[in-house]
Amino acid sequence: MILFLRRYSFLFFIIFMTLSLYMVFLYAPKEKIMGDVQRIFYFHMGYVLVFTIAFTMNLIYSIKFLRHNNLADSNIAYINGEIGTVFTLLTLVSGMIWAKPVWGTWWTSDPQLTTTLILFILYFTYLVFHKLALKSGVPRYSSIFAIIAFIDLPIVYISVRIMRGISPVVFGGEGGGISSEMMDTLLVTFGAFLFLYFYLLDLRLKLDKI
Amino acid sequence: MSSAKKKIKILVIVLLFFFSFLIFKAVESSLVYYLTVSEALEVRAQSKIKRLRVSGIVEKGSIKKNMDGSITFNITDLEKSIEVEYKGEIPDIFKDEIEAVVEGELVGKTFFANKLFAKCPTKYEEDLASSEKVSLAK
Repeated sequence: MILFLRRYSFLFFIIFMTLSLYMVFLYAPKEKIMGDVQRIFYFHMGYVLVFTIAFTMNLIYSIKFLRHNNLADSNIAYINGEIGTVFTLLTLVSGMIWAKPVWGTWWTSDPQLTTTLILFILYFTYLVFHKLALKSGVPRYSSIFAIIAFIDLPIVYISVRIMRGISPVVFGGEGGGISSEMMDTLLVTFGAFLFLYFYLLDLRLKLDKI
Repeated sequence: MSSAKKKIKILVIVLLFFFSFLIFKAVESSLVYYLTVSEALEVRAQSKIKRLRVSGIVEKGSIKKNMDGSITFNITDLEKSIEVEYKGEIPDIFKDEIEAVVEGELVGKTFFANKLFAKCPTKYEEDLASSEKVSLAK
């Protein structure tokens, strides 16, 4: 399964991304209140999907490393940390571009925005810290740091639901959901980003072998 | 224990404290990102805090453009309402009956805002009349 994903992820990414681009710009309807700028939503959610997977994998491999002390696990955790950090930044930037016309500001101290920024800072620190810990011969410390950093990920998801903010809750709870064409588009975009994640993981692992 | 290990340990502890502090600060300050109109009036009556961030629904037909380029409108939490005066950039989706967030000072029953944000809908609907443009009331 993993081998299959690694071998064909790029092909599937291209297929899904082409379909996704078509659907985002031509198939998905224009949103009633926000207009065309709402189309950022699909990519914004795609980035969120990737960093959620990457940070979860980072957690799994950090725990694995602590248990079995195999440096390869620590390296896979680090690679996932890299991917996750990049996509957290993309989430923040795409969110800002979306917020400017809709909310009327690039940034505000909304709980979800703040916790996402902290998530980015935490994992950016992890990336630097990992190299330092590795050099000092104590890679276990960076794994412990990664486990602690992960606490913020569920907070990002929960904050918007339990605290007042400007960031919307679209799915579940009081959210109104999205129209069925929008849902189809979102699912295809999720597919594209899922394969993009596997492709990046594969590329990065190959890079280590050089 | 070697000194490198000791250093790393100290660094971990310092970083932990630093991030706990950051998270605590963020939670503390954004626990109430905004107040409702009723809460704002209450806070204003009970304390000397002037600068507030208030959210409410823009009352239908209340948006007026003034001569000096500012706009006035009423926001309500369906119990009480306040008049908001604002001059500056207006978000694209700002119109009647949306939820708005304003930052500024509440003096009496008038809120002098220097920031105006619009909350985006939590339901994304298809725009059936695509040609229709969002515009400010007269």
